[in-house]
Amino acid sequence: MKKPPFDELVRTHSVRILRFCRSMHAQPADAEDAYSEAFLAALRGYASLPEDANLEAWLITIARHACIDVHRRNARRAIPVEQLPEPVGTGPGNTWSGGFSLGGRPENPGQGSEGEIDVFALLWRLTDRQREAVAYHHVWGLPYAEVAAQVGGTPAAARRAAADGIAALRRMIEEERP
Amino acid sequence: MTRAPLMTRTVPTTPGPPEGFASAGLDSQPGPGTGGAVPEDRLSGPASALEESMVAALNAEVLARGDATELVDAAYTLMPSPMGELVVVVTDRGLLRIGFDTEELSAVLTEVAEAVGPVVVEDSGMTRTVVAELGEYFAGERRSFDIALDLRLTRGFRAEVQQALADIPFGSTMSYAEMAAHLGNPKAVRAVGTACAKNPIPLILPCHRIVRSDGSFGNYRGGHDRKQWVLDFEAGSLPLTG
Repeated sequence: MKKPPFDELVRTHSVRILRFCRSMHAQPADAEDAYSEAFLAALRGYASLPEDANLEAWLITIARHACIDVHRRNARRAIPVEQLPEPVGTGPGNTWSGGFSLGGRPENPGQGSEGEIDVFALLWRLTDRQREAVAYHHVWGLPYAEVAAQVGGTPAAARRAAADGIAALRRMIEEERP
Repeated sequence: MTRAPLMTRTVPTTPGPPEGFASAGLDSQPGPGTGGAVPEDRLSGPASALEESMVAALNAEVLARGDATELVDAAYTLMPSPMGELVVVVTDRGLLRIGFDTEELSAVLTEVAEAVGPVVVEDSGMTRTVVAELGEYFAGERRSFDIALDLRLTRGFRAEVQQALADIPFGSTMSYAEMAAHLGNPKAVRAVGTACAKNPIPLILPCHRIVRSDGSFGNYRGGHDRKQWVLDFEAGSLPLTG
């Protein structure tokens, strides 16, 4: 069985990858950089990907690495300060090393460019743990056991974090309404 | 065996079909203040038009980089034409395939991927020359094409027939029997017909210019109506399309 044309992956998965990147970067421009990097990495790796490879696992790995790369690049570029800020409340076992707070909070959370409520900006008002659980479960579609493997803790805790995150988002959307 | 897993997520978080990614417009999103805004819909529901255009722009930007071009096995573009939407597929060797909308896009791209490699992308940069020449053809400004061809989708006698098609000038026709004789194989009338029906690059390799000895059309990949249209067009009986 030959691999499907790369275009099929693009059509099926690219918006989800962009959304995942937005869940991992506070600034939309950083999310776009990470998306572009993931797209290039997929383009580069697809020809040599084994035909029986797990595409879902391959894609999430590429997306995660692209996000980590952009965070590292931003961290290197950041103006040195005398005292580095503590990684923000990501808790132990977090495979992202708390790096996702380095981009800072968005300037205007909740408001998209067209006055639409931008739920990806609202994600940055959640705790990092809730945001990551929502990103891996709701945005990417991983089951809670795999979410727990990504963000640490038990599957039940991951489920709880995602549920709390969604509940908080729902309240924020209600509040953002004129 | 078909490969379904591509289209399914590990855990479907919304009941909507994954294909919905391709079709949802801004209209389908609840506007501000309309109530019922469920965060899950925005997180995992159908893509908005804004998201679709954003990924398209970001992909195009990456593909425009020089180092990305050499990773690509084939690039395609969808172009409107008087014969309906055409899919134009090119490789670094030249034009590989033209498809009418009588064929499923995914079937065309799968055929391409199996022949030249799996990295098939939508990109308007690599197909620009071909699209421009086809545009001139349909505008009545061009009667022959100056395009390198990649003939990897054909072989053997079919390839011979398809390449010989280029010798039939704009506006004229030949019968299947005449083409068979022209190739020194007068008994191969049926094989000429098959070669025309399976022509990977219609219009540029003008299989439409081969008709039955009685003047009727015979098979055409784009169907009878398209063959009639293009023959009428080349005979000058159609007004030029602007």
